[in-house]
Amino acid sequence: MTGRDRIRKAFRCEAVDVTPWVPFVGCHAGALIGKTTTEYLKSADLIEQGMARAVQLYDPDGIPVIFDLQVEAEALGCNLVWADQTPPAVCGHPLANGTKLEDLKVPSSRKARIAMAIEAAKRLRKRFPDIAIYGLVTGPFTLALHLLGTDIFMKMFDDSAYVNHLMRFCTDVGLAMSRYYIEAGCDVIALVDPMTSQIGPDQFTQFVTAGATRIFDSIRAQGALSSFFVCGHAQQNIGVMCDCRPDNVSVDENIPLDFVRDECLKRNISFGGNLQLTTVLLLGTEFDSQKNAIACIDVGGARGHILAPGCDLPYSTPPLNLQAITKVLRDEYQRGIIRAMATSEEKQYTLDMAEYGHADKVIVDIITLDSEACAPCQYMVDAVRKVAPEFDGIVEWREHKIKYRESLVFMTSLMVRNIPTICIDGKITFVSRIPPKNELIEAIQKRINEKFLMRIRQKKATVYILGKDSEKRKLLRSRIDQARQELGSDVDIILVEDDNAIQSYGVHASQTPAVVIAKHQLKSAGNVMETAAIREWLKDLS
Amino acid sequence: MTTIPVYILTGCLGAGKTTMLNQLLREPRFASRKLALIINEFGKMGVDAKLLDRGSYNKYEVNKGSLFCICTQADVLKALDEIAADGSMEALLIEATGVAETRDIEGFVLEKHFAGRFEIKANVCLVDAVNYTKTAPFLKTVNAQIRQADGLIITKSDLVPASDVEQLGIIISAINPHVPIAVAGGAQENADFIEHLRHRDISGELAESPPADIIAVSMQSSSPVNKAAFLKAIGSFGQRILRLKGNVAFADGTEFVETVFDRVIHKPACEELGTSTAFTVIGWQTSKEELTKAFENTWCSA
Repeated sequence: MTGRDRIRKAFRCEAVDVTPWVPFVGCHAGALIGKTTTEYLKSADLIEQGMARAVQLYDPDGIPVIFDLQVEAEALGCNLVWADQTPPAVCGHPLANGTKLEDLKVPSSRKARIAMAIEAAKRLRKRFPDIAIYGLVTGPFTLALHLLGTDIFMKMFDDSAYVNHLMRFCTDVGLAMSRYYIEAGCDVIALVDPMTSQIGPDQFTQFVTAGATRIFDSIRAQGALSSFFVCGHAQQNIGVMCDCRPDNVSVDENIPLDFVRDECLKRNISFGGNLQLTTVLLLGTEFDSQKNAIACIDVGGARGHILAPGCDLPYSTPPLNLQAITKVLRDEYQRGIIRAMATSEEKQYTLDMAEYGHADKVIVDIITLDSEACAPCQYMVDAVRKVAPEFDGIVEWREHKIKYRESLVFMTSLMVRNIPTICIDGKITFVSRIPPKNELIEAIQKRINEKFLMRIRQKKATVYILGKDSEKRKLLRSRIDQARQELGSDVDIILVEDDNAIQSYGVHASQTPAVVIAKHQLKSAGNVMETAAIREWLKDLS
Repeated sequence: MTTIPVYILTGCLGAGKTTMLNQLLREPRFASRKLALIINEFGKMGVDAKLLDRGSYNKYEVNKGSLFCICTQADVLKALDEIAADGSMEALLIEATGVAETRDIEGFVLEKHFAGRFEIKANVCLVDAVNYTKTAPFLKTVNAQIRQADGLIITKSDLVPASDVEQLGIIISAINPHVPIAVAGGAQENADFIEHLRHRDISGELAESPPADIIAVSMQSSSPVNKAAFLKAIGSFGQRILRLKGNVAFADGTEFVETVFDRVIHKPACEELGTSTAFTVIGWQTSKEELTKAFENTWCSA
């Protein structure tokens, strides 16, 4: 199933193989190709390059052409201020500065940056036939705010007829923009109207509903899909948004996704959202992003949900965070791991693995979801099971199914993040890959060799010959050398001649030459051991 | 590492936040500290910042890029990051946009990323005595900002009758009964008021949507309206009708009727609204149904 098919099916609330993924890459695509937002949002060439890079990195099912709600406003005479890392902002409202509403005309597809946006849509359509292309249109209420400024809130009372007139004009602009994008090949027209979050359902019904409904009806009549985007605290309006009959409603993290799901699905409308833009995608880690994605798709369920952030991705969003989401979406086992790891409790409780793997035998740990339920896990366990007997009892293996809490703690303690994984003596060795028999044998043998070398190094011994130089001592020394040679032993030989030193071994000068043998055993290296552990060593010596 | 005290200034557009901020910047107890300012004003790019008196403070404008709260998050967080990293700031003043949810701003400041770096000292909301009753039913952040504030200051009180100020005080006190209310005064008085406020953590209280205590209802009718009954209906609501405005087609001709609290003004009909009845009424502590029923009962065919 292509991403485009997946989006279409999800919009119709039909079951899909995996939740569709639409990262709203707007100005962030500029960052991906090293361009400022000001450069990026003014060039169809750069938009094509940036989106191509985003597609390559994030493997999305759908992409927006651009995410810039100032395109129509600029074409209608609003002044913009540009910035390096954010979309432009409207800084002058023509209707508040003397322009008459009657003088405004619906812009053509060739006006200002509309031409560039439509050209970019055509190129993306041609270049990515299997991905759904979203044309984003500024919602009528947000466009009205661009044109009039916040005086609109007072005019709603002082001059509601004017506000309705303005809303009709902005609706006409939305109808025209939708048509331009559909003609350019867009699959989905998203009416983005974030400023509706500022009004209640009564005002929404009074000023927004009629126009938005006209736009969605028009999109439907042209054979395209429609989405109603809102961001901010707009929970109060989800019902009236659905009443406008879009195919999809998309929200940000300010509205609980389960609420949106229930409101939408009872009307057979699909829904999108609601990855956390800033605290997770921008500031969080890859793991945070994956957890957030899993939480969204678990709440969203199997029908009608599109996974997306609630708005334009920040320019500096770390690409690794978005790639991590793609990975978790495309790999069901990865989803299983993240689900299992997603509680903070487990994160906080880990084992001290500093001394793990120092036993006589080589321990092979296989971290799985469950080898009875997960095919790759089963193959990995089988591979180890077949190889282990060849080491004649030196190798022990065990499976850790992370559906059990203690196994999850074990996995977290070993820093394992992928399933299935083989650890040999606590060291991550094979990740999500079933090793061929020879490779597995080689890895285990390598560990056995390492341990053998370690043993040799640990078991060092010294022979102390106590006494001053004499014939007897010379004879003793020569016999010790001969014995060492015959055994091939590498024990050190140290002569101790100082009387005080000899006495410290409990030997009187009259008893020399004497021999003391000391066997060394390495107990720790690079760690400051607990007193309790040191006490146990001392007990062995006494 | 020192904790930087944060003062948040909210209020509807045109309520006088920039004027207040300028006053505070001149007032010794703020002027003596090394200040950081975050200016976030909707749709008036740079204007507020330019209006501000020149001073030695560090200024961060976060309205670049977008007018939408969620989209300004990255900018706000970036500004906070820079202020925290600077290490020399002794206080932070945030002038919030009139359409910002104060809980979002508090959320940015208290984000775990900044743990221990900022402490909200006071969240002050300015209430515009002239325009409050016009905007409150339409722009939901007007009352949300009042609800979240630690103190309320009524501005532009010199432009309305004293009785209006008194009535406004009653209304906003009902919306946020926990905090002191003052009428804007001189710089020293305002700074005194702000310095003595105590910040309240009410994040839990705001988890649920507040009741719509100020509502707007639009009425239309092609039937003539009984004038006596209409005026009686207005009177029956007393202080619960904050405003009413529009054409009313009485039996003896259409008039433009406007009320502000208990004052009723009659003017010639507004031609743009047509000759039939079309008006909007803003009510407080009432319901859409109660208002609708009361005025529909004044239609002559009713």
